[in-house]
Parts: sequence; structure tokens; C-alpha cells
Amino acid sequence: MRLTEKQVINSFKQLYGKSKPFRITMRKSQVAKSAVQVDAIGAVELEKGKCAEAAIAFVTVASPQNLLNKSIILKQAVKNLNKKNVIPLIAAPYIGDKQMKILDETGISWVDLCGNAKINIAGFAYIERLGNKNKFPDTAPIKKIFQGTSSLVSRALLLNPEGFKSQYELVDFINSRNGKITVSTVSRVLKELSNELLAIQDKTSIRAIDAKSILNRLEQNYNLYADRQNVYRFAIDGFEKLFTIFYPAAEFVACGFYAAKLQGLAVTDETILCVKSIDKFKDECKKALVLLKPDAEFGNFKIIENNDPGLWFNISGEPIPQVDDIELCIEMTADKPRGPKVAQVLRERILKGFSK
Amino acid sequence: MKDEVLSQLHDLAKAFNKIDIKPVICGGLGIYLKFYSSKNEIELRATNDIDLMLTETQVKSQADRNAVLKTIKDDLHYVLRAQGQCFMFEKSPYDKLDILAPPIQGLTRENDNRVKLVKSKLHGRLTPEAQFIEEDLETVPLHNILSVNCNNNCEIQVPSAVNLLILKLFAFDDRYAKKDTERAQTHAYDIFVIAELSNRADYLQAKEFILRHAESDIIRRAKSVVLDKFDGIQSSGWLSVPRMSLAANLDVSQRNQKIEHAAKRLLRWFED
Repeated sequence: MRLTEKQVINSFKQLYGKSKPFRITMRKSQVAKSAVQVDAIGAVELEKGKCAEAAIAFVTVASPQNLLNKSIILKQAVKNLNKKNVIPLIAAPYIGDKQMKILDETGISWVDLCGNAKINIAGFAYIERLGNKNKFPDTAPIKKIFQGTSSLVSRALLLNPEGFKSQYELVDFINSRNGKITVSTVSRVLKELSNELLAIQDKTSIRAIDAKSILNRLEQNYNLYADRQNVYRFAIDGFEKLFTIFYPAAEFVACGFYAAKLQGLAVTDETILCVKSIDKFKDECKKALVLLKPDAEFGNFKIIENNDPGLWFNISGEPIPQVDDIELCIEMTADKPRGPKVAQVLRERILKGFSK
Repeated sequence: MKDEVLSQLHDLAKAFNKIDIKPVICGGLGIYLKFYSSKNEIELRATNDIDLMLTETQVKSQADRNAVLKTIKDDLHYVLRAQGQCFMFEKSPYDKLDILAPPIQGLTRENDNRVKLVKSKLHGRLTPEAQFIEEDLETVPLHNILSVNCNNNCEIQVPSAVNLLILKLFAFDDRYAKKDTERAQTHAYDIFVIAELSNRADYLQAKEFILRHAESDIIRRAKSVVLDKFDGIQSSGWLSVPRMSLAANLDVSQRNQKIEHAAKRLLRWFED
């Protein structure tokens, strides 16, 4: 559950009312009309005798976009107060690295409810970055936009650095690549991506503005093992026939280290294929007289039943359908210990299109 | 693997290639070279010495044996580590070369633990379990492996996976019987590596090999070591594998899963 503003204020009072080496006491919780964007006025005292008045804004959801907006408004509000020695201060449940960077750039002091803080008083900066983890994960930006069908929006933006003219064009693009997505899902995901300052949608286009972070988030939200519960190993005689049976229907796709091998990026003895249905795969093999011998220990043919929409969206390559650079990069990042080295090469390749 | 050992290997290969011998490398270094392409999947053990197996074909005639001696002593400048032990050489305390040899007709004496290749100068530590070592030898070009400047044609050979396994099973059994825990652990870990990193081609080759020599004492003993000491993760062999060396980032149950997988694979090699 997300914290309410009241809960944020109460926790803030508890945490910083008596703490050392700095203390923040709230003097007024109601502020004059000239500064409606300031939630409270307080006093900040650093141990070294530095003190200042603070114009405080409480934030319940610290998304980058939200913080950026609040920062601009808070800074203006402090200016409108027309008083010396007042610092703008934002208090939020948790301030992550990206959020910290935004607040640094806008010159806003901040504290979070996990024990991290940065206070600037007259050129003197006090930093309490303990690396504490987020104790309020519900206040973190939504992760689901980088998983399942929602992830197709990010994947599409990475595939097309130039961007899309409209949400409809983006939907059509996704659906033309084995995806199945609606305009409302695209709209919801784009809103989140904009909040996170990862993508932008203006009058002329929808495009990625921080492709590196988008790729990073896709990697972080990928679970190699959870998505791939059904792994089968076979020894297959005459497997070359398989490629003529299935191709061009996107019913199987080379993935993992086998896909990396096809691209000359890795060495492996295994053939790794993802299929939508293991039963269908077995039926097709039977029809084509391809002999499947189950062999859990030495089977060199790894068949993974995987219906993750991201996988079937990011396909390329001939004559063997294989995952493209984006899906392969995500898979390799998770496939430790060998994968991350391959992922690094792919990452550079993917982001090259965004370097302009 | 330490650069010094690989550099020593390069010198050895270069010198032996000059006399038309591709040195057969066994032990920890042999396992490293055999499974080099999979080295990132499992931590391969570092070693300080080179175990060189001189095969029957390589030392058939007295002239061949003299050429080998000349290469080791004159060209590579190895000296004996201790008088009377003519199968242990060194250049420095960190640069060691051990000579091994399978039983060789006319050179092996009963009740002796060495094969006398050149009297009082060059012996091989008798390794009866290497009787079939020349079967399925694999040639490895060194330029893919070494970071030092390497002659492109420089080549060594490594035994097949099953021969490497047999050597290690015998070594483990001996050390375990002598209660030499530390070295038994090292051999147990090598057995784990071979079981885990062998691919399907290695497995099929091993099955053929074992079938071919099913009646030999070597295969019988190897099989009994597997069945007695490597049958399931609670058996003495698998318990000897130092769990911490498997992968630092794995928890206890993940490590046991790995061992269990290796155990199943190993049993498959020897099942009828």
C-alpha cells in the first residue's frame, strides 16, 4: 500500500524531529497563499551550527517526472517567499539514484524516510547517503511496464530510435510483430515511461529519450528462470529437418547461447530453441520422422516452452528464426556467469542508434 | 590459469613439435585445456605443474626416447628435482614437469612404479590406467588459449574426456585410501568438472570406449570406483568435492543440485 501524505508527514516528524547530526522541526503546517506549493515551513539545524529555514514539500510518489515538477514549483515558491536563508526541501518515502540526480541538478535539498538525506545550507552540503534500501517499495514506480505485454512498448521504442508519429502507429508496429496490445495499454505504459523521464510523447512523435535506462529496466525485470519453468532436453537425430518443418511460422525461435553462437558471439554445444507449445513441437517432430530421445543429462537439444510476449516480439534472422539483439541482450544479462560479457557487446550495438 | 604455467606449456609444445611430438598433457592442466571453451561455466582449477604423458607411439625406439630426453634437458633446460627420481623435473620451484607413462612393452618392469625410458636419466611414472590413453586423443592448437606470442602451428594433445576421467578416478581412489584428504578433494573436484563439462559428443565417445574395453581391469576398477564412491551425493566421492569451490554465489541447495546433476551424468557413463 502506498503511504498517504499524512503518513509521510508523521514518519518525517518522527524520524527527523530529534535526530542527529541534523534536526528538522516543523513550525508551520499552513503556509501563506503566496506559497501554496509549500506544504510546511520548518527549521533545519546541522550539528556544525549551520541552520536555515526550510520550505518543505511532501511527496508520496517520487517518480522522476513528479519530482522534477515539484522541484521547479518548490523553487519558484521559495523565491516568492522573498526571504533570505530559506532552503527548498523535499521529503519523500524513498529517493533513488535517478531521483537524487534530478534534485541535485535543480538544487533542492531532500530527505527520505529510509534515512537518506542531502541538505544544502549556504554553500555547505550535508550528505547522508547510507545506501539504505527502499522500505516502501509500493511507492516505487510501477515495474510491470517492463514485463509481459506492457514491455512491448519499451521494446518497440528501442527498435525504432526515430520514434512513432502516434500511439496508433506504435500499436500497429507491435501487433505486426506477433504482439497483441491495445491502445489503452500503450497509453498507460507511455504515461509511466514519461513519468520516469524515459520516453517523451509530444505533438510530433513518441520516442525514447533514455534508451540506456529503458534497456536496463527491461534487463532488471527479466527473470530467466521463472519465465522458463518448462525446460526439456532431448537428443535429436536429423534436427536440420526441424528448420524446414517450422519455418517460416514463428513457432520456434533460437535463443540463449545458441542464438549468440549463430551471431558469432559465443560458443556452445547446445541447440537451444524456445517453442510456444511442447506438445505441438513433439507432434511436428513425429510427423517429420525426427526422432526425439528425452535425455535430461546429455541431451544437446534444449527446448524451452515459453509464451512470454517479449520473446516472440523480438525475433529476427534467417534461415533460422532467432531472438534479436534486444531479447538476446536481456537473456544474456541474466545468464550468469558467461552471458553478461556477450550482453555488453549487444548493448553497445542496440544503443548505437540512439547516440545521435 | 597462471600465465607462467601457460608460458611454460608454450615452450614445451614448441620444443616437442620440433621433434614431431604433440605433447600429451594430463592432470589439472589437461582438464583446463580440454574444457577451455567452457571455462566460464565452472571455475577450472589452477595448477602449478605440467603432467606430461609420454605415449608408447612417441617413445617407441631408443632414438625417440633420446630425442625426448635431449628436448627436456638441453632445449628446455629442465633439471631433476631429486636424484634418483628421473620423472620429476623443474626449472624453478614454480616451474615443474612430471613425466608419466602407460605400461610400455619391453620397458616396464614388474613391481616397479616407473617406466625406464632412458636409464638413470629419463623415467616415466608408471600409470597403468593410461593403458588406452592414445585412443581418441584431441589435438589443441595453443594460439586460441595463450596470451603470449605463440607460433600458430604450436599444438598439444589432451586425452579424451573418458581417459581424463579414468586417470582422476584412480587418483582419487588412491588418495582416499591413503587418507590424503587434500589431494583426494582436488581429484574429486576434477571429477566433478569432467562430469559437468563433458558434452554429448564426449559422452557418446565414452560409451563406445567403455563398451570396447568392458572386459579390461581398468574399466572394471573405474566402474567400481564410480559405483562405490560416486553413487549419489551422499557418497564419499561427492562429499569430498569442496562445496565452496563450486560457485561463490550459490546457496547450499543450489550447490547440492549441481553435485546431483554431475552424479547422474557420471553414472550414465558407466551404466550398462
